Amino acid sequence: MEKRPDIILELQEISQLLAGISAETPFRVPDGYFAQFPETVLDTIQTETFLANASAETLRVPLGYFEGLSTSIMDKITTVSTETEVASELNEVAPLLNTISREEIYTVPQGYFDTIDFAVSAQSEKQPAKVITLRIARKWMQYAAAALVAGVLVTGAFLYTDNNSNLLENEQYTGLDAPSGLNKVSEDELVSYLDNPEHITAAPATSLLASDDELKEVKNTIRQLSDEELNQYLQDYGEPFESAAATEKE
Amino acid sequence: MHADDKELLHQFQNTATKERAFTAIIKKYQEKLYWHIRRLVVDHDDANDVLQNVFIKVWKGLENFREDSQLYTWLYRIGTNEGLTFLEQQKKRSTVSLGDVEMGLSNKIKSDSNFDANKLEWRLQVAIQQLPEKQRVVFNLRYYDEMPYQEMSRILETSEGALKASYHHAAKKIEEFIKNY
Repeated sequence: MEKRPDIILELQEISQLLAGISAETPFRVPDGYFAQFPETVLDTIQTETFLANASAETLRVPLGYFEGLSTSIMDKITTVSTETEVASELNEVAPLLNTISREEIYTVPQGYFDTIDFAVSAQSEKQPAKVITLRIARKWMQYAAAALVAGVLVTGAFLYTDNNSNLLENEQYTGLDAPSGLNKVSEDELVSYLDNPEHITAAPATSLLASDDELKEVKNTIRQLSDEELNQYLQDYGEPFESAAATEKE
Repeated sequence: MHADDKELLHQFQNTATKERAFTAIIKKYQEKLYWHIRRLVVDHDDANDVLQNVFIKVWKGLENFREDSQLYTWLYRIGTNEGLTFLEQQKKRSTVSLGDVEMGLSNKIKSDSNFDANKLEWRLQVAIQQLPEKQRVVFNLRYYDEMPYQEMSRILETSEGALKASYHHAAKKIEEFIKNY
């Protein structure tokens, strides 16, 4: 390859040696390289264009995918760990149950869950139920019940006692109207009375009853009596207890 | 711009004639660009890779090419940049200094099956690899491509005076190297 005159002239001023060397590059190129090269380049361009379009069309993510990705991953992790825990527990207890699908077999009316919120909120908008406090009434009832029990005990003690030692004491209660008397007692007095346990202790029942020996003796005596004697006894002593007691006292 | 380059660019804008026009552009400039790149990277396969990248970039950028500049100049600028980028990447990959890369290029020349150390053309190639990258480009464009300084100035974005000085220094270094080889 011949050098241009101006190039040769310039080189001669700098280096005579270089001016005398051929400007031909000694490197070699494979046969047919330049004939094939344009086609090679166009093939490469078409492949690149195809891949760029293919990736643009196929490798898309739904809108907002990355915004909710972390939440959905964490939900999945939580579900998986819970499922594993439940499954391993069931595996120990009843492995057969692990083989059964947990899919719901029941159905709900269509749109049920869409309207359930509305139904609940509509109910909650209704008038609230009237609230009545029971504290005062309950206290009053406690006192009344206590007074009633006390009244029953006291009256019972008067009515059923036949102990002679108590007759004199009973006498002073004759004609006493216990309920009306209790009504005159104030609530505070009742409370203080009931607070003292000695006041509400009933008289010992043993004083009203005969001893076991006495009972045996009576039973034996009754067995030895004839029917005529018993009838006679009933005719003589068959009057009411109070009347008999009153007669005996006279 | 040359009349035929202008015509090719117009054909490239038309979808129907785009590929045909581009093939014509490749055919017209491929050899000049190949040798420009080959002298920089030495190895044929490397030169082939770089040249393909150059024309792929040309395909992508040709629609926006401004017709007030020479197509030839634009292609050489892309070719030079791609060639130097390739050498830079090789330097980073091999984690060696640029001097080692140049030594590697010299060794590549010497390992060529046609290498003949007695021939000045081969010794010249080895000598060129001893130059700094920019000086190497300047020397090749002037010595082999006989490019005017004005055009070289547009490609390398360097003043003509600086390019002349660079060429002068490069030629002196090469002469010295060849004499002592």
